[in-house]
Amino acid sequence: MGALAASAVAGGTRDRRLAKKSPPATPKNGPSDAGLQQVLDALPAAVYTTDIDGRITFYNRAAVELAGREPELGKDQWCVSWHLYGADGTPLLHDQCPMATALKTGEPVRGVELIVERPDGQRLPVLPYPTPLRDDEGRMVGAVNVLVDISERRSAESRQRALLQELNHRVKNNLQMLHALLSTARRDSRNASARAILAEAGQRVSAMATAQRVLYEADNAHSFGTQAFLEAVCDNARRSLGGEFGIELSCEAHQLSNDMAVPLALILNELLSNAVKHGLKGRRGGVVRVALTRDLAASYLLTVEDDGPGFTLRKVRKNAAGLGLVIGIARQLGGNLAVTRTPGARCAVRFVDRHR
Amino acid sequence: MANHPEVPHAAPAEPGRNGAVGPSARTRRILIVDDDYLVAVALAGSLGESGFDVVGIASSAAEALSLARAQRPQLILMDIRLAGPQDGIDAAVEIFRTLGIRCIFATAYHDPRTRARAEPASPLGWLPKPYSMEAAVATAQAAFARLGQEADRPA
Repeated sequence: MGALAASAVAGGTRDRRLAKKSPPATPKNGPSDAGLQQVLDALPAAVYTTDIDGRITFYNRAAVELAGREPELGKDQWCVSWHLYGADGTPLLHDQCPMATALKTGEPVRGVELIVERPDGQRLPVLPYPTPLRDDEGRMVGAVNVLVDISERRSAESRQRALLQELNHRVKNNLQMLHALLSTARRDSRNASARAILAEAGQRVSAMATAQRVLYEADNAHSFGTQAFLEAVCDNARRSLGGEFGIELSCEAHQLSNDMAVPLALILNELLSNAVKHGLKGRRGGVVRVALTRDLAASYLLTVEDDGPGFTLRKVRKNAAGLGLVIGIARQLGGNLAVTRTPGARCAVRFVDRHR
Repeated sequence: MANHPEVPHAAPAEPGRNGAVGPSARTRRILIVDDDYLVAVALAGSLGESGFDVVGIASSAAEALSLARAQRPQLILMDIRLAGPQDGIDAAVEIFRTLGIRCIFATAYHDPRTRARAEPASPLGWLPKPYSMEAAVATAQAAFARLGQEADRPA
């Protein structure tokens, strides 16, 4: 604002009518006072100014629409609104509002959300932008405030949240149905090997479902906690595999990106299944050790160890849905599978979390 | 159970018997309430395989109430989301109030508000979705164990 315009709105005793009629002494590069009035009235955001004591000296058309009332020049103080509340709904006295703070401290206030209540009771969420005004000598003469109505933004946010929840429920229901379908198909089949294959497929789907459930419970758009995840996948595998064996779990990493959940669940489920079926072979009191550690800067190591006979990777069948799955998904995750004999089997999958 | 050929017809409970389970009960009678055909049939199969007596499958709150009244199961596996104006929690609260039968809730809505709504039904357990059939069986077994313990407690 030019010096002339600033003094015109901030002057304590001058009223709006006088300011309008003063001769249009045009600042060098800008509209006249009357022009400025038109510019301000054309803004979709509420704008008002106060003097150094917070008394309203000017307001635009949008301010009247937002506040639902005509402010009284020279009388209303701090804010054009009827009533104010904090973002959490607690009442806010006008002399405590961000505009009052800006006038007290001489600093602009940003990032505070308010709720403006109109005389008819309607409430609107609003973002204020109070900024002190200074004369040519740098003395504060008043302040200007812009009130941005953010109700559209808020309702878009809650619509998006509702959509995401709906999507989440659909995925969960679909996985539930898929698992149920495989379970029933297994029970229906009269062929023992068909039953075994369907049982395995069903178990892999339940590992995916477990991953999805952990993601939902973590309720984080980006990452999940590894401890809870590993426990859930191990728990699910233990239920499907039956038998009496122990799982020792140790977890160094804390968070991984969400899109690691399903691939890792499938890998861990497969390695656990192999460890129990081929390593422990139904032996009571057997123990499988699962560990997740950070390897190098950006990579991790998931290891599954048993104290069975061990095996050589080169010599075993790598079914596409079995060990082949582990190798393939590990590669997909930027890593690999390494098998050593300790003398039991030690399967180590290195992988990268590209989003962390 | 004319609607579901997969579920063997169960003998009706003795008149006057309520939902209490005592250590002498030989069968473990369970009612499935789920409006999803695939899930309900798989549950009936898995629970049946594991030694439970599935007395029926209901797909609405009204059906749940009438089947519970007719068959007097000891436990209900209740999906919260059901077709119709009333959900599984409504049904469970009514069933517990009038028949004293408790349930396990299966649900995708695993939040505090839902749990608070379900409290008057005195639930025996929660099955967060998606669950495996094995998890459903394990939860049912744990629920029956709890019922047995509570029946054994001295008055």
